[in-house]
Amino acid sequence: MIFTVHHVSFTNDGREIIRSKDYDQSTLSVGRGPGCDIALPDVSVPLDHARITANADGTLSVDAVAGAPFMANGRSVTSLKIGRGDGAVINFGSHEFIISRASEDVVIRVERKSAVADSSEAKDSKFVFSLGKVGGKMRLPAWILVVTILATLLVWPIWTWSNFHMAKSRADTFHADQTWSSGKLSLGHAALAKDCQACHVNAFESVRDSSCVACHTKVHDHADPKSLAGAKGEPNPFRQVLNATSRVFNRPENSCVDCHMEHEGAVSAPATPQRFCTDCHVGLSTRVKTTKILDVGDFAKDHPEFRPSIVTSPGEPPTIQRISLASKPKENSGLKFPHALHLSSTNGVARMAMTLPAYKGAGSAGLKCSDCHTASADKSTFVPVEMEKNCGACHSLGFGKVGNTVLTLRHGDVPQTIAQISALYRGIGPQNPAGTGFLQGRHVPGSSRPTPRFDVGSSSPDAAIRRVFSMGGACYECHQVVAPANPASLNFTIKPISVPKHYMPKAWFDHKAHDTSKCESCHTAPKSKSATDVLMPGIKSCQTCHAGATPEHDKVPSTCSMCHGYHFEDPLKAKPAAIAPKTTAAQKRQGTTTGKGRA
Amino acid sequence: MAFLARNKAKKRSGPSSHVSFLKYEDYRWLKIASAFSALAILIYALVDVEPRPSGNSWYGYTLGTIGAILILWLALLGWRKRNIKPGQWTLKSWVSAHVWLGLSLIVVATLHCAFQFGWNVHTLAYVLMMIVILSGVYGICAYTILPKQLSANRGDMTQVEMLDNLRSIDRQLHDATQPLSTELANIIGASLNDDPFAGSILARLKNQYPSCPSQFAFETVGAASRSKANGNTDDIVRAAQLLSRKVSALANIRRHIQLKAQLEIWLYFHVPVTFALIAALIAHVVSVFFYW
Repeated sequence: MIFTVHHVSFTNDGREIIRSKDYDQSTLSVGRGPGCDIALPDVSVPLDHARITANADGTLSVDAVAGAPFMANGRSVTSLKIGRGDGAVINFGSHEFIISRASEDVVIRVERKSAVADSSEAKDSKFVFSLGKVGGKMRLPAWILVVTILATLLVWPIWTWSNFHMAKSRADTFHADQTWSSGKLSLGHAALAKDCQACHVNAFESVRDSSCVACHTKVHDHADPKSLAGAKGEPNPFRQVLNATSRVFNRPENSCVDCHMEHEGAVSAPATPQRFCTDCHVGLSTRVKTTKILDVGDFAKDHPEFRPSIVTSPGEPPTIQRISLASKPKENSGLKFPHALHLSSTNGVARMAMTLPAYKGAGSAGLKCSDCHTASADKSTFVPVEMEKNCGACHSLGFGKVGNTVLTLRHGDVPQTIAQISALYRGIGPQNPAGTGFLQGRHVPGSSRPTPRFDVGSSSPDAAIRRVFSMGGACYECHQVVAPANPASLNFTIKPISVPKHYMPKAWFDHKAHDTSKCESCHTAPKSKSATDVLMPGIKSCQTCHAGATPEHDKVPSTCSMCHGYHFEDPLKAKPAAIAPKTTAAQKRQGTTTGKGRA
Repeated sequence: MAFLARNKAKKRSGPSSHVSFLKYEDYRWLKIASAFSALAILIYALVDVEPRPSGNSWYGYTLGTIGAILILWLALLGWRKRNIKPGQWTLKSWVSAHVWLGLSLIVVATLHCAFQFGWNVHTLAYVLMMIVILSGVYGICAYTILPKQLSANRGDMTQVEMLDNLRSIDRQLHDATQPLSTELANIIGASLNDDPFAGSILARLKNQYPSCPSQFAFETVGAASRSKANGNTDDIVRAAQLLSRKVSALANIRRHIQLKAQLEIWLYFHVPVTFALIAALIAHVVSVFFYW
């Protein structure tokens, strides 16, 4: 049998070169060793690897010499039998043997299937040295990022918007358009954090006023829109450019959001910038000739003296005028009350305060402001002063005694007072009405001696009644009494007490924010000898601590919005009800105030 | 603009001596970018935006518009460097402007958002922009430092020559291995079959190939060549010498790979994140006007 071995190699351009050799022998040795019949220059082949033997029956045997396996027809074996007339594909290392038959002879095609070394293979030097060989293309991660971002942060939020367009509210879960929120909502709007559609209604349309007034139903305009337009004046060129730009971007002027900016953090709604006020109020009188509003600018320099609401005549209704403190106005509230007398630390009032359990805390200093003026629950204002509660401890209206029970005149009810005194004398006789001794012993608060000023113990009920309503009488002490035209009549009336609900109707004042100061540092009550004194502090008092919009050393920067509102109703339009003598306590509470809430 | 025009005449006809893109035209773009940034900061300090500075103010929108245009123009460098054509702007002037104006974007974008950050699409765009810029800063450093080391390492050889050298050594090594024992032949075979460019990104960056078959073959065959127990010593010595040359050539190649990796790695952040940034920028701008 003859073995014909074809050694196949290739030129650079891929042409096949075959070198053939015939072996007229029954066994061929295969290995790397130079002595082998088929010497393979292959480092992965042992020096003496295998024998290919032609058997007498026409079959072939391929056997590994040293046990190192070879690949035959795709399987790793150490021995292979090839049937008569059959062929096989065998791999020794990198070399492939294709065994076939040509009549009685065996033809073996030997071809190297891989390069001598990895480096022998063609390499693109630009590519292999570059990080791109292992890093891959940047295009794929770039596209993944682009698609992910656009899908999650653009398409999904828009889909959410379209789903909830015009919806009243949304479930308290995450909604994709929340990723568009540029900052937390103010505390007042915190509940809307997941309801973007509550304000952002239509796409590419700025928040409209209709969204705001959907909830803020009671907010009204600052003034008539026409007046507002006239008050503003011509914007400067820069502002004109900004306004034009806003119009281009579908953002109307004079909308709520012009002043009320949102997404500025989880704090109270930020104060409206001063510019929004001063744009109109500086030089307002030059633009709106008919205005009664004074020109006003920065608090530090261009603010007029305060003009509190002063009751110039008590009654129903009372006459209330806003008068500048510069003209030192006098108030006529219908009440006689000298603050100085009550706040003295040395007089009889102070001594009496020391004897009364309710005022024990006063000690030797006498009465304090807080003994009568009680702070409201939130400490920002004061509850109205009530006669029975705040004055009655000293100014008793007791007029008789039955056993240990003191008979008391009903405060605020003139007919009842007259009836009570009349009843005292009825059927008893004028000489010794029951308990009148008690009345005869009455004295002025703080005085150790009984005084006839409070004495209603008279020979007749008429005389007693006249005494109560006349100079020196219990009512006359604090009230303005209107005597009947007919001297014989007992038809006395008392002028109502009229105290403005708001001394400063156009501003507010928080007493709590000022609780580190003493009352008298602003209100000169200890020096006030008459109830006609207006105890509201002037602007200079405020300016000692409050700067304007521009910060000053040791002063609080104060813009308009610190004291003034834009949408609040003018308290003067709802004048306080005068305190008529016959009003009930509940009505009194409604009608009176110490003027602290909105000072 | 006079500043821009001043050097126009000599732009394309400059001397052939190398000028870094950073120093291009006497730091022209550094000066422009610095002046622009200083102006932006000055206006930010002087303008009284109420209630507080934010992107939602006229100055915020102005800076935002400038920033967005700047980002898109900076991204165009990727297109410009692939389109080589004559014109007023050389690629170097593009790169110089790209670098310095790109750095000024930190000022523009930070003042645009007025230091307001949150978990939202707006801050995402800012963060992506900062990743792009910071990776770019790394790129500037890499392009300033590494090219010198790269040429020092490869000497006079080109990359093609490095490969040819390795190929030549391998071929000789292959021949020299033929008479060796199966055990040594297998060890050297592993070296021959090893792809020196197969290392991972990390291996390339750190230049660490702990299980290098060539190194192992060098050590094993070297030891065998020194051992008197082995017969046919001349063949082993020859293989050991070739392996020594191969290890040395590989060290050279791998250092080259490392420097190239350090020179290119930032682009794997700079480029894809730029695309992500543009996507986030689109989402940012659309969202602002959508919920206007």
